[in-house]
Amino acid sequence: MTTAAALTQRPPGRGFAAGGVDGWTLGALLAAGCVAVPIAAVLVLAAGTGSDIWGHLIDTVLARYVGTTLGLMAGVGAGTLIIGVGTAWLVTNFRFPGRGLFEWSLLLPLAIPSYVIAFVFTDFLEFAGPVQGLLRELGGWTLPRDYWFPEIRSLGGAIAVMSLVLYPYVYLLSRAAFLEQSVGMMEVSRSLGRGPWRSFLTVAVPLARPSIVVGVSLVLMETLNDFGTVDFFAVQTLTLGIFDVWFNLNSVAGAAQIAGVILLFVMVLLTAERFSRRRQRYHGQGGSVRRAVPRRLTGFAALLSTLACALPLALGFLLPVGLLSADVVANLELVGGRAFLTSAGNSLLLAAVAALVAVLIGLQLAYGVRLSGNRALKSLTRVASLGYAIPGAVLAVGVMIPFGLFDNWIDAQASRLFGISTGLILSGTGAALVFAYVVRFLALSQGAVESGLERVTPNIDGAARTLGCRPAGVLWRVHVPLLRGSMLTAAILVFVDTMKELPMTVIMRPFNFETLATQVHQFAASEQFAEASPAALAIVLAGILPVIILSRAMRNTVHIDTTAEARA
Amino acid sequence: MTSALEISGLSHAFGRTRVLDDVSCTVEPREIVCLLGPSGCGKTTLLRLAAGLERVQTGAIKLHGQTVGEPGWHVPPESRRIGLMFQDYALFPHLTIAENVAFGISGLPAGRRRPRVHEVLFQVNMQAYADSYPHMLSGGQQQRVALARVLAPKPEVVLLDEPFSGLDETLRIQVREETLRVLNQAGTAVLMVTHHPEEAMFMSDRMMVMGPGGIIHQVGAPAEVYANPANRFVATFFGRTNLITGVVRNGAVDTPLGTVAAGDRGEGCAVDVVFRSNGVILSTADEQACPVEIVSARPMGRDTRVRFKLAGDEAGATYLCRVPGIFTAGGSARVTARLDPAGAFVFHRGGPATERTSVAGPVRDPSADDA
Repeated sequence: MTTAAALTQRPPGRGFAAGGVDGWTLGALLAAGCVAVPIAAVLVLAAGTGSDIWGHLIDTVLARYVGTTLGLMAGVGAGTLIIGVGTAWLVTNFRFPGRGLFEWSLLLPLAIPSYVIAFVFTDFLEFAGPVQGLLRELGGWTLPRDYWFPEIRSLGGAIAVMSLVLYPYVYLLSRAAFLEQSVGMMEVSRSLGRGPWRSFLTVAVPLARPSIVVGVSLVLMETLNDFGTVDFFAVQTLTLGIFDVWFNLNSVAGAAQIAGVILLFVMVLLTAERFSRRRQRYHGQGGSVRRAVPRRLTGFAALLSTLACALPLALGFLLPVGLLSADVVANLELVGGRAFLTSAGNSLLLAAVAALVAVLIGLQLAYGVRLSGNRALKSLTRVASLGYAIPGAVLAVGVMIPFGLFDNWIDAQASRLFGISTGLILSGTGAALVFAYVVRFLALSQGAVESGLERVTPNIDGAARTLGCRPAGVLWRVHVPLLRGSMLTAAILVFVDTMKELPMTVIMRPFNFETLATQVHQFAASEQFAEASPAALAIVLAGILPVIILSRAMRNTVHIDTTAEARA
Repeated sequence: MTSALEISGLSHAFGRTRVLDDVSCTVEPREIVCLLGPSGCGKTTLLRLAAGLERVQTGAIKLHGQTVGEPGWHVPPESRRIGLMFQDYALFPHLTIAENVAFGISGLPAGRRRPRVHEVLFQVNMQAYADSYPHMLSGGQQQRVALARVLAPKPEVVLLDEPFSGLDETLRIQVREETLRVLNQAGTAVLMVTHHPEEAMFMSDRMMVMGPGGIIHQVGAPAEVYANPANRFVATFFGRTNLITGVVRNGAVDTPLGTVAAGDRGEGCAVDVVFRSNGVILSTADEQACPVEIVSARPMGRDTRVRFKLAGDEAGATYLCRVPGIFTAGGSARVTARLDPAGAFVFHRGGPATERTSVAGPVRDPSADDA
C-alpha cells in the first residue's frame, strides 16, 4: 500500500486496494457458513447410501405421501391466500364496524400452534364432543350412522385448521404492502375504466405480489413442517412419513431421504418466491407515498366485511382460546404452579434469545449481500435460509451430528494433549438448541429484513456514504431506523415460532429441561386433552403478547405518518 | 494550482454496455462545469465514479492532485470529501430536515454543528423547516434541503446529478438561479450533469457535451460550444436543426438558401449544412433571397414557429424557422429566406459523430426547447 502513505496528509485519507473481500462480506460468509452446516449435513445424509429403505419407500408409500402433501399444500395455500389477502385489503381500504379492532386482532391466530388448535377442535367436534352431542339431542339421533357429520380428522380438517392459524403470515405481509401502495395507482386504474374489484385484482394484488408470495411461501413451508396436526388427523404427508420411518423403522437415513423429497418441494417454492421477487423489484420512496383515505362502507357491504374479518378471528382464535380457557377453568387443580412457571420461563428465554440472534444474523446477511453483491455470499445465504423449510426433527439431526463430531474431536484432543476429558461441550445445551432455532427460523428474519432493505433506494446508501458514513455507519444510522418495522416483524415471527416449535425442542433440549411445548406434546399425544390445556393456553397467551406489541407498533408508525401529513 | 477534480482516460462498461469512453476532464476550484448529454449516456456513472460509489475500471480520478480511484486502488466515498446530490435527492425519510443536513457533520461537536446546520439552511432559505420531515416538503423544498445537506460538510467538490429534473418548468428557472447563487457563495468546485442544454448554459463556466456510449464530443465555454459546435450531434443538441447536403466549391457551399463558408474543408468535399431554426431569416423585403412557400405558422408566444419549403418544390423537404414575435407575412406576401451565417454550420458528411447522431435518433423533444 505505497499509495496509502502518499494519501495521509490530505482529505482523501483512507483507501484500500480494490478487488479484495472486505470485512462485511467475510463476516456474512462466516455466519451463512455456520448456518448452512446442518442443512448440508441433512443433504449429505439424504444422499448417503447404506439403506435399502429407499427402494422400499418408493414401492410402497411414497406416492401416497407426495399426493397427500400436495393436496394439503394446495388447500392451505389457497385458504391462507384468500383469508390473508382478503382481510388485509378490507382493513387497509375500507371503514366498517370493528375495523380498528380487526386490524390488529387478525394477527392473533399467529399465537396458536396448529397442533393446539387441532386437538382443541378434535375435542370439540368428535362424537363425544359438545357439538355432536347437541346435534343428537336436537335430531333425536343416537348412533353415528343416524346422521352425517364432517370428519375433522381428515385432509379437509387439516387444511381448515392449518389455514386458520397460518393465514396471519399472508395478512401481515400483504397488509404492509397495501399500506405502502400509493392511492394514485388505484385511481389511475379506476379512471381507466376498471371497477374496484378488477382494480384490486389487476393493480393492488400484483403490486403487492412480492410480499404476498413471501407470505404464502412461509405458510407452505410451515405446512410442510407440521407434524402435530397431521399426526392427530392421521393425514399421511411426507413429514408424517419421516416420523414413521424414523421411529417405527428406526432409520435416520430413511427419514433424511424423505426429507430430501421435501427439500425438492421447498426448492420449487423458494425458486418461485425469489424469481417473482427479482422480477418485481421496485424501490419505494420512503414516506412520500400518498395514502388513500379508507372508504366508509355501509349497510350490507359493511356487514359482510365485518363478518369476513370476524370469521377467521372467531374460528382461528376466539373459539379455540375459549374452549382452552374453559378446559383450564374446569381443571384448575391441574395448573401446577412452579412447574408451569419454570417451563414458561424457559420457553420465553429461549424464544427471546433465538429471536435476537436470528434478527442480528439476518440483518448481517441481508446487508452483506446488499453491500457486496458477492455471488458466493448470495448463494450461501440462499442455502442458509433453507433451514426454515427443513422439518424440525430432521434439522435437529443435522445439528446434532456435526456438534457430536465436534465435541468428540475436542474431547479427543484434550485427552491427548492435557489428559483431561471435556465431555460434551455443545451437544445437549441450550446454546445448541438456540443455534438450531436460528438455523430453522433464519429465513423469517432474513426475508423480512431483506424485503425491507429492498424498499430503500440504493441512492440513500450513496448519499450516506458521500456524507462521510462508513458501511457500518450507514447500517446503524440509516437502515436500522428505517428497518425498525421490518426488524420488529422479523423478531416477533421468530419469537412466536420458537415458542411453538415442538419436534426440535423435544429432541435437543437439555436433560430435564421442560418447555411449554414439550408439556403440551406429552399430554396431547396421549389424548389427555384436559391435561394439555394449561400449557397450551400458556403458549397461546405468551404468543399473544408479542402479537399485540407488533400490531401496536405497526399502528403507531402509520399514525405518525398521517398526523405528519395532516400538519403539512 | 492543481485542479479540484481531474479525470483522465476514464472508460467504464456494465457487462457489454459501454457507458464511458475515454473521458477526461478537469474541474478547477470555484469552477462550475456542466456535463451535457442525452438521457442514459453515462453521465450519472461518471458522477458515481468520481464520488467513489463505483470502482474505476480504466483511467484515473484525482482530487486535488491525489489519486482516489484507478484500477486496483479505491478510496471509499466516505473518505473523499466529495458531495453528491442525487437526482431523486435521496433524503433520509426518518430524519428531520435539520438532522438530514447534520448527517454529514456528525463528527463536529454540537456547538459547531448546530450553527453550521442553521447557516446552510439559511443559505437555501429553508431554516423555517428545520423540524419538518422530508415527505412534508414540496419538490423544490426537497431539492434545496438536498443541496444544503451536500454543502454542510464543506466538500472540496460538489457533484450534482440532474439537480432540476424533478421540478416543473416555472419552478425550475427560479430554483436554478437560487442554486447558482448558493453554489457561488459556497465557492466550491462543481460538476453538474444535465440533459437540458439551456440549464447547462445557464449554470456553467465550462461545459462538456457527451453523446451515447459516453463519448465526449466537445468541451468549452457555453457560448463557444453554442456558436461553434464541433459536429452535428452538438449542433442538434441545442434545439431543432435543418439539414441541407452540399459539396464544397471554392471554399464555400452553395445551398438554395444562400452560400456558407466551408472553413478548412477541401474542394469537392461532401458536407452537411446544418442550420438552427433561428439560423434562417425570413423576409418580405429581401428580393435577392430564395423565394419560399409558407407551410404553417404557429405562434408560440415569444416567437412564431414557421415551417416553409422552397417555392415550386412541391414534394421537397420542409424547413423549420423561428421568427421573433408574431409572424404576419404568411399567405399573401412573397416571402424569401436566407441563411444566417452565425446559425449555420458545415460538417463533413457521414463523419463519425454524425453517424452517432443518427443512432441517437431524435435526441430530445423539439417542442420542449423551442418554448
